[in-house]
Amino acid sequence: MDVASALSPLRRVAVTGCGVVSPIGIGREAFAQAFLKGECGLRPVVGDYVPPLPCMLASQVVDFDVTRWLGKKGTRFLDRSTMLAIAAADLALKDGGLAVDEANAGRIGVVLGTAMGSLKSISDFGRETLLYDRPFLVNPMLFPNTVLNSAAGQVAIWLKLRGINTTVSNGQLSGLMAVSYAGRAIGLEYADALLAGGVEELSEQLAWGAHHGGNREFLESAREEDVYPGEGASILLVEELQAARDRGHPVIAELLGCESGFYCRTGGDGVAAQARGLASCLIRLVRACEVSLEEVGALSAGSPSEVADSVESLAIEMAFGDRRPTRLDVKALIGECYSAAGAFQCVALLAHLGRPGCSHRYGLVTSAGKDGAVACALFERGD
Amino acid sequence: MRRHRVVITGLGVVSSIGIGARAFCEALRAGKSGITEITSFDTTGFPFRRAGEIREFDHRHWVRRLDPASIGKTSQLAIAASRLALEDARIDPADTEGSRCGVSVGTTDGETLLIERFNEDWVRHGLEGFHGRYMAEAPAGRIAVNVARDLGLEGEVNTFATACAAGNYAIGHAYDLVSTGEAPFMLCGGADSLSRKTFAGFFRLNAIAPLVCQPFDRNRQGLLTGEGAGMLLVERREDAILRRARIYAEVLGYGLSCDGVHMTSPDRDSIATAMRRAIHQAGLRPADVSYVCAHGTGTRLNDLTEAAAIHQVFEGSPPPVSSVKSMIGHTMGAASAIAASACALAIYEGFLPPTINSVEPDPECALDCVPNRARDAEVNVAQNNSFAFGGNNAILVLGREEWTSHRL
Repeated sequence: MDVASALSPLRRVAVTGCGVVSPIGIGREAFAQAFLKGECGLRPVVGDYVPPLPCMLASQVVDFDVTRWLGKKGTRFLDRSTMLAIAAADLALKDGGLAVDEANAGRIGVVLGTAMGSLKSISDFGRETLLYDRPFLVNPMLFPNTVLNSAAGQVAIWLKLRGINTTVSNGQLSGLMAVSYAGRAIGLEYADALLAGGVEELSEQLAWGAHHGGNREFLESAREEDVYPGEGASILLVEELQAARDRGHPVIAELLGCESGFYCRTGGDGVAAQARGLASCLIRLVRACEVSLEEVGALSAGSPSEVADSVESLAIEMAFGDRRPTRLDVKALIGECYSAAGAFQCVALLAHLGRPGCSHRYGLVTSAGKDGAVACALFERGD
Repeated sequence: MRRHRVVITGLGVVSSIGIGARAFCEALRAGKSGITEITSFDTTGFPFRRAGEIREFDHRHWVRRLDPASIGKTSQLAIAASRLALEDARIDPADTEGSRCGVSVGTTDGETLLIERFNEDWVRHGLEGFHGRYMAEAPAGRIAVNVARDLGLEGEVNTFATACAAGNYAIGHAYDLVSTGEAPFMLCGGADSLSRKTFAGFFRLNAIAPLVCQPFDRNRQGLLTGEGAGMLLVERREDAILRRARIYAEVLGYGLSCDGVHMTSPDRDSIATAMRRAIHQAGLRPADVSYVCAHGTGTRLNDLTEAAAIHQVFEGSPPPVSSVKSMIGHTMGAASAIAASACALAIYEGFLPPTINSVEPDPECALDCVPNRARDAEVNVAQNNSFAFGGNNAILVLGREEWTSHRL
């Protein structure tokens, strides 16, 4: 007997809610409408950044009042990325109509993707140790903000979630890898519902750090490909499909599966090698889900469609040939949201699939880091 | 749930008490201390200045394809540990190139030295006034990526940023990928470099000990920070048997939970939940556990909470519980991965690693902490504890492969 066939099948995974705090709208409905209309969040930078950011334009979340979610008590020491994450997580739970109580709290958890945590919190704290004769005179209340899982831990505290709590750090892929991890965790029965996605806060440190690092995923690409820095949080509520149906809540989409791999770009044809890797992941994923490539109607990519020689453009060409799916480009509207990018792409795809009159049943989300890592996820439109 | 059985066949340890599985094992048996005066950052102004620092580590020997100077120290440590694990598993790195072998690494502080350099440049020159090309290597995810780059691997690459429980998260994830057939084999573990920021933070919380780390001791004065990397090669049991590999231990399961109460203060019941989940996934009962490798940081709060959770789960008769941190300090994201390696060695070699610096065991903990001397013992099942800021708890359960096979 084939060994693989003896393995238990994983549980099926549904998306039942989306929480979005974005430059083009807060909440799933507002975001979907703005995205489908093509509204752009790019504006001249506002706010008191010291020194000013190395860019004049950015997609910022400007009308975000944290007290609306958290009240005024106990928020003094929270950093911006944590507040964005809590707000998005709360929106996702409410959108999914899932009430947390003593009975289910241990089975509901959080999976967040973050490339650098709050670089502002980490860096401000470290800098304090350099400024004074007594380097330990840092504010102990701010120390917890310097761990990379701070946002996920705080989401659990504020929303009273005691299920599994995981933070993944995969650069550009962080948001999508969080969704992938959450899907597997639901499938393996580690949790019954998970809030999964990514968060990014725009700060002086992140913008200048990216500037110095020549981070083509962030600022330099801004010049070359007209993508500007963005920020926000995007979180999906995923749960076991049957449980979602049983409680009678509409299923936005089914997460059929995810694939990822690493295709090193050192050497001559780096981009082509990575594109071949992504194409092979796509094909493997679609086959494993028993879907044909022709049935994939839409693809929500992490890089702009105008760039024909990007990893994603090449991979789409390799995998689909001339029958290419409709390509969605949320980054053109909300900027490079880095850690949160992949999760925003997921919500954008779901907005597209759920649009009245949309004929597409299946959609892909792809993400490619500039370092060789690639990931993709396949969704099927829900009820 | 039916899955492939997953075994550990290679251990790569870079620690302050030894580099390589053999040296690390001998140091554990001898109860060696890796604690010294800190040299890797300026300790001026700090009254205490000791930690578990890696000495005599030549990254040029381990980082082969990449330019070692082009990547951060934590990546270097993870690459060294990965190559050691492959070597220990008697796998030629050339055979893994281009394979679907994945990498899963846990970390607390990522490439903390690069961020510290950024802070220094910022103080000196202002954020805009310097060339900081090195920031491209600062995101934590570079650690797993750089392991894959240096070894030419093509499987899933994932860095877990779940603070001080990250190593167990990463090993648990690798277990998931291999046991469900998604990956043929994985390099998994954790890595961290000594961090000035973390030292200052723990110092401010009054959690740093002046000289030694004394977990479960009445005279404990706190934790000591440390650095290192532990990487394990895990593969399907049938593959290991086919290639006649040495099987250290089998990964039987793991359990995660989240306190959801406080960012830094551990929660007894939540920790107990994670232990029960891990033991349940392993298909065992608490009475089957022969040894607990404690989180054991040596702070009063950790010791009492961990001991209370252990007593709750083991209903008053816990197995011996010791802390590797007494020897190497708290290596943060690497801690539970190095401790998992200690568990695998304990199972394979038949001994309990000691808790050193034990003077007067704390009666409030009421644990057999294997004081000062390693003890010969048959270890069929080892439970590896880890807790973290953010209330992230991860418990891993390993078993002796012959023993678990016999049970089936």
